[in-house]
Amino acid sequence: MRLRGSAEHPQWYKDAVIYQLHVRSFADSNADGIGDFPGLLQRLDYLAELGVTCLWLLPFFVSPLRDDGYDVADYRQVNPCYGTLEDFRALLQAAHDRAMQVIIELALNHTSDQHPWFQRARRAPAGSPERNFYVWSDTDQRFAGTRIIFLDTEPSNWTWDAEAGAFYWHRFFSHQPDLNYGNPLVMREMLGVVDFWLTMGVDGLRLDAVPYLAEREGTSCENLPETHEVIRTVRRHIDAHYANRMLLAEANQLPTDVRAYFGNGDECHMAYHFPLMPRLFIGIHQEDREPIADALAQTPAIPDECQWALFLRNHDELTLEMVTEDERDYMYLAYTADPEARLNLGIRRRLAPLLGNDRRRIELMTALLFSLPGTPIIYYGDEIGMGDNILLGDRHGVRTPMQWSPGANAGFSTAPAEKLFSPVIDDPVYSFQAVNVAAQEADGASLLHWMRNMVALRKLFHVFGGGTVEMLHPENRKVFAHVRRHGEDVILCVANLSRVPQPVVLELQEFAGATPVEMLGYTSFPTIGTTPYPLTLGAYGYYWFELQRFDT
Amino acid sequence: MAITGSNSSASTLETEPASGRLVIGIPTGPAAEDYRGLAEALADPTVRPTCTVVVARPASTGTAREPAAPDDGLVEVRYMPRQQDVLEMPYHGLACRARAIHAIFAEAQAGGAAGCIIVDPRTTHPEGSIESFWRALSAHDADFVGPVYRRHPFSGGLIHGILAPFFSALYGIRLQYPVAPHFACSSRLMAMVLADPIWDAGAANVGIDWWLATAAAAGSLRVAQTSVAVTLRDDSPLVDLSTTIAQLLGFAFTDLERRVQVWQRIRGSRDVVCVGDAGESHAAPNIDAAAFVESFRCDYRDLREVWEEVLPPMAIMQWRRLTTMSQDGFRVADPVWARTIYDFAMGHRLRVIPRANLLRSLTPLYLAWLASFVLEMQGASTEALDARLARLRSAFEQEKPYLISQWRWPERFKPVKLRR
Repeated sequence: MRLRGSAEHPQWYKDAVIYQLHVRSFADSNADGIGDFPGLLQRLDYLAELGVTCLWLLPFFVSPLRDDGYDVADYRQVNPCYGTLEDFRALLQAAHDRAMQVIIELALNHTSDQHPWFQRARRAPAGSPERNFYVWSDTDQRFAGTRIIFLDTEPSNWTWDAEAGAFYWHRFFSHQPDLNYGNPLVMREMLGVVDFWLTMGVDGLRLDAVPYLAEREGTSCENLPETHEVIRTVRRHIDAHYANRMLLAEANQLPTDVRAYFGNGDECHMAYHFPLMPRLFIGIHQEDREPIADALAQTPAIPDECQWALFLRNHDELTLEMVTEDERDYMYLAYTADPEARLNLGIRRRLAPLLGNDRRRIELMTALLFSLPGTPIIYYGDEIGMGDNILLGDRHGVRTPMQWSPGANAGFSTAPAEKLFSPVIDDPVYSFQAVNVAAQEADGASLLHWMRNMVALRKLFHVFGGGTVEMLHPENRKVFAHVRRHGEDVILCVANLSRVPQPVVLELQEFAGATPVEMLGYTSFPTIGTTPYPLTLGAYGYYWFELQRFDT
Repeated sequence: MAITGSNSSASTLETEPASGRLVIGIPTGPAAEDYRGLAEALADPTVRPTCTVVVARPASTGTAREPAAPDDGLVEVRYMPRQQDVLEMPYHGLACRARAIHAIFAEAQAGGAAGCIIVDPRTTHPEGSIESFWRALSAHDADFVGPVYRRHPFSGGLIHGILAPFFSALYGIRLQYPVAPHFACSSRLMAMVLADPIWDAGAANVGIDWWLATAAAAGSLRVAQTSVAVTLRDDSPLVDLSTTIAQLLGFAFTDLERRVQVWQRIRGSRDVVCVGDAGESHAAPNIDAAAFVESFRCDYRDLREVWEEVLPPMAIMQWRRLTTMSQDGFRVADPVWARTIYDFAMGHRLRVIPRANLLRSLTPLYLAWLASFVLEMQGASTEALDARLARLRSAFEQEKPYLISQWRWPERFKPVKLRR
């Protein structure tokens, strides 16, 4: 019998609203300056009230934390600074009690160099199964056609290990050796890890850095058939033993390559739509819908049970790997006045600073995120418009403590400020004294209230999670309009990407006789006739219309 | 001839169920009145050969269910009463009604019954009153059948003035009595609801009747109603009016939160099939509208501050204006009344003050509406009364966007005393 997850519906992820958070950054319950599971548990009602239906927890496993936990040293233990396994179980139960699913990270590709597997491997005889848990070479010239991802810090994908007397392969930091899925023992161990968490009740796994699982000479070592076989093996295992669980692929690739990670519905249930996100930023900056429409036009169809994961910002830099060089240059010019904001091929900024702290633009971008086909992911703090600190190095500037109140340490911790794992944001614009949950709770016009309402509205209509999408092509390119359909539901979304009001005429004759009912205010607009339908939108304005027919 | 314990003489079952037996359920509580006569009469095999009467009674021991062996079509099932059910008397007077109905449904389902009719042992059941439910279930393939009592609209003002138009506006079905001691359910509806956790919810006891009607409507099942000639007791209510309002609306408003994906997608309403002849309504009860008006004027001074927690300035002004009106001009406009109910629903949702206090404070406003209705419609014909109630229902539908707009954007809820 398959062990069922907490969700009622097997495709729960299609209607989900995911909230991404780092336990370390969210709430500290024991005054050690580091967020922990009991702290998160205490704040769970806040998330329930926000309306999110799924928590995505960044890595919380035992780790030397040289890559914020993506350098795992023990897949089955909670890092003691975040709590215990029992604390995690309590959180999981509490989330399920609030009808929230929980997905966690599964760093399949690599471990920390502190992981016992690696320590054993470097001491094991060359060619032994223990040594072959990782990818070794006598030369650093193998797989020479493979790009370096962390250009700013890593000169090579190979690093010499004196104890082993060999080079080991790593696609990311040199302290993160890649696992060798050519060794069946590795797969066996990782399936054991999968069983450990899914048996406990975890609802989904985010497969980190999934395109890089396999290597082969003469290739880019990305998206190889061997990699897909690894994923299919994981999926088969899950389908055989569990129900209502989800795999989310992190594959920062072009859509055509990402498409392969859905397989024929036999690989991942979800995958991020990486190219869409930067094009949303380009579109709103250029006041032109084409970059967005183009990204959507290039999005391949995916199996029915699969879903795109959409996001505006996350814990990493705003990645520009999957845009053209021109687009990358444009993004740098448009969004990084301060060169410190650049990191690798991306921009390390949060949503509000990227959008100039313009409430209208934040709302517009979020409305776009919520209306496009896929499941939206909200990065913690973006619901209140938190700022960042690009001077903190790496991506730490977008991982600062959650701002709960104007009190000491933003209400994140009662530890002395110098003990905090990271300073709180305290600049003149985004200071925790101005931007915090308590203040926005008390202000009915705040971004937080707006976000809650939008989340609730989106959840009301399955069309957003499961419907089809059709682009409209009005003459005015500053207006982005699309139609979502699901069963009898037809939703028209119209957005003005411009800073000034815009007129638009939409070809809606297909819907003649229907009345557009504006969904936020439930106001009926004039009935659609047999001629083009004119609308006017305010600066950065947007409408969601339910096309209703009253003849029944 | 009323079935009150004596045998009913004639066979009145005109339409037998399509398949399977039918169950007539008699829920009884810890303070059960004598149900035996009614049960035996209903179970008479010469009259109803295809039905089983199931009486649900509280268990005195730790056993939750003790079905007795069928005995001439009469079965007793036991349910385990919960302490909380007997602590607060529900408006309908049956302390464990939800548990009892659940036990009856479970028994009906276990026996493969095609449907189940719930009756109230405290009312008389004239000849044919049960059969009309059967006809609606079988001939119209209905999943839920509500009653239409031959009652003057001045009686049951809560139903006519709030619950029926509210139900109609929300769920698009014009059910005259969405809350009633008598109703019928198909096997399909019973199967759908039996596994729901609602039965164990704290307020299930007061709201289970509303919940079953909304479950049917929200589940897109077939809903019908039937004219029923039973006599409801209007005398000596078991709880005071404020408690009744708090209980009924408290449940209905809470249910809104559960079914938001349904009612916000419904626009307009439709009639439902009514089986049987409505017959003559009873005579108008004697209602002292002047006393209600006076009561409203007094309570306005005391409760205005509470109402300001939920009502916007314009509504407060409209209600204040009424305090100065003579009886001739004392009219509560339908849109004002509908919006007031919707504002209370929002206040309830947002917990602006303790929910019970909020709902109890609606009582003088309700009495004002009732006085207005009585003063306007005194001496009116049945047709005129029906038309008037249809206009009220229409107002609730017209104002529904006001509720949806605020529900989707609670910041638009702007009572005088805005606490945000």
